[in-house]
Amino acid sequence: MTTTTTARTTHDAEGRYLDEASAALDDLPAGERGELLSDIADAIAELEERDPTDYDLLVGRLGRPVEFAAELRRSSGAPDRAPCDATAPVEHHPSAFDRALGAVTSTLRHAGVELEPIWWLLRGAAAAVVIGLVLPFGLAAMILLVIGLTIGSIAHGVRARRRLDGDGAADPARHAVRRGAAMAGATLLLLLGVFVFGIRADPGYVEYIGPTSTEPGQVLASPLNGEIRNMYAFDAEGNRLVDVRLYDQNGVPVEVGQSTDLDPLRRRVLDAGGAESLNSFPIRYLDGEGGSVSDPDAGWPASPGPVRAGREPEPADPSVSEPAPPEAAAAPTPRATAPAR
Amino acid sequence: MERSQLLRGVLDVAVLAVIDERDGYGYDIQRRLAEGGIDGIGEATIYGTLRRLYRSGALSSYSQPSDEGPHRRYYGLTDAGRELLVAGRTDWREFVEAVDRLLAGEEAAALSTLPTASTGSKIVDEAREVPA
Repeated sequence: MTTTTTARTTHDAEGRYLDEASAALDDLPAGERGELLSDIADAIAELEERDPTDYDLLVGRLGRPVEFAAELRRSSGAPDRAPCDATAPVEHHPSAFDRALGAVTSTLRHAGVELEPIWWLLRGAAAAVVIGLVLPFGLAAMILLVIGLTIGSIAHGVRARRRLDGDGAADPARHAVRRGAAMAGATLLLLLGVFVFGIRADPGYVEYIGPTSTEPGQVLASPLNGEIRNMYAFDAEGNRLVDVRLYDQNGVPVEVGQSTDLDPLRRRVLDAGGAESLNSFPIRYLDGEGGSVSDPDAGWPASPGPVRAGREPEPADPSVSEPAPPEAAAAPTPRATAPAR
Repeated sequence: MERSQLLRGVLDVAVLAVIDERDGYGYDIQRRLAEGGIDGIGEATIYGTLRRLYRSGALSSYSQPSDEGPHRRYYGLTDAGRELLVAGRTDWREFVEAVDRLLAGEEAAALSTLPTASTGSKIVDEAREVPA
């Protein structure tokens, strides 16, 4: 904590304490009230001389301003404030536990004030992560969301710091615990979100959503590409391929989108058995009248050009007998598709 | 009995005694009381007692610069304060003796404090001198 911050915090703490005590003595004549307030200021000055202090520490050490003022009034012989509680104890003298708790909450409060900007960042990022976990944002959208919510969180924090912290003054211990729990929760949530997002950000990660009663199709999605709604294939020369059927390593068709029952404008492709094939790409759509493909070139990216082999195969050595080729792995057995209409 | 109630009755004398030994300021007096065995006195009670004794004329006040921080308000005994302290010491001794006797529960101790034979004769003699 800088010297300037310490001086400001101490001055603010003393001012607040004296203001509250003054309110408790406002029924006394101005001269008498001034004398008692100067006594309170002397007590505060003694504490501040030994250690930099803040409002919480003053309350922990001296008691609440109202209580301090009441005992000061009584012991100085000033008339009691009506109505007077005759059974009040001599003084609410904080116990050792109260002083220790005051020191701990004061330390937490000091640390909290210093770490508050980090908390603002965490809060904004955590909110973005929560939204990102629920909604299928792509990477770019997530970045914008994090930036936007973080800026908003910082702005809110700056405005809040300028206001008087009434909660902290009323119950500093509970306030410190609440703030600490909130910060810990936001940090854990952020770490969880980073962990989950990190998995999802893996380019190799593709999420399958299996068919449901209302969504019979499958959805491919990745954080980098967002939801995959179509795929376009080119041959080795860079020519477009249509009606390419895709299967995974287990021979399962890679299906995208919904059947024509739910997506009537989707160009219907049937396999040899007459069943609709959802793994034929690119998916093309018919015009509104359901006649022909509305735009055969829709969605096609530019041709990537011909591919180049990464390594030329070495010529076979005639002196070495060629080993028998390994048995071919179980290749997927594609379902035959009917000719495109 | 709550200790604070006992302390309330003797605090004035204790504060005067501490200041009689050496002038002091609020925190200093509180610390010296604690070192003397009277701890648990809060700042508000100390400063309030000092303020009341000052208003009653038992204490004087002056400001003295501090090496470590702001000026401090020091209190010293006035002549009135010294007289108050002397009277307070006497009252306290008598009070303590009376309470000791009561707590001991010995009426004999109380009887032992009655006037001796010589003093008893004097009383009788005085009685005889009562005019008719």
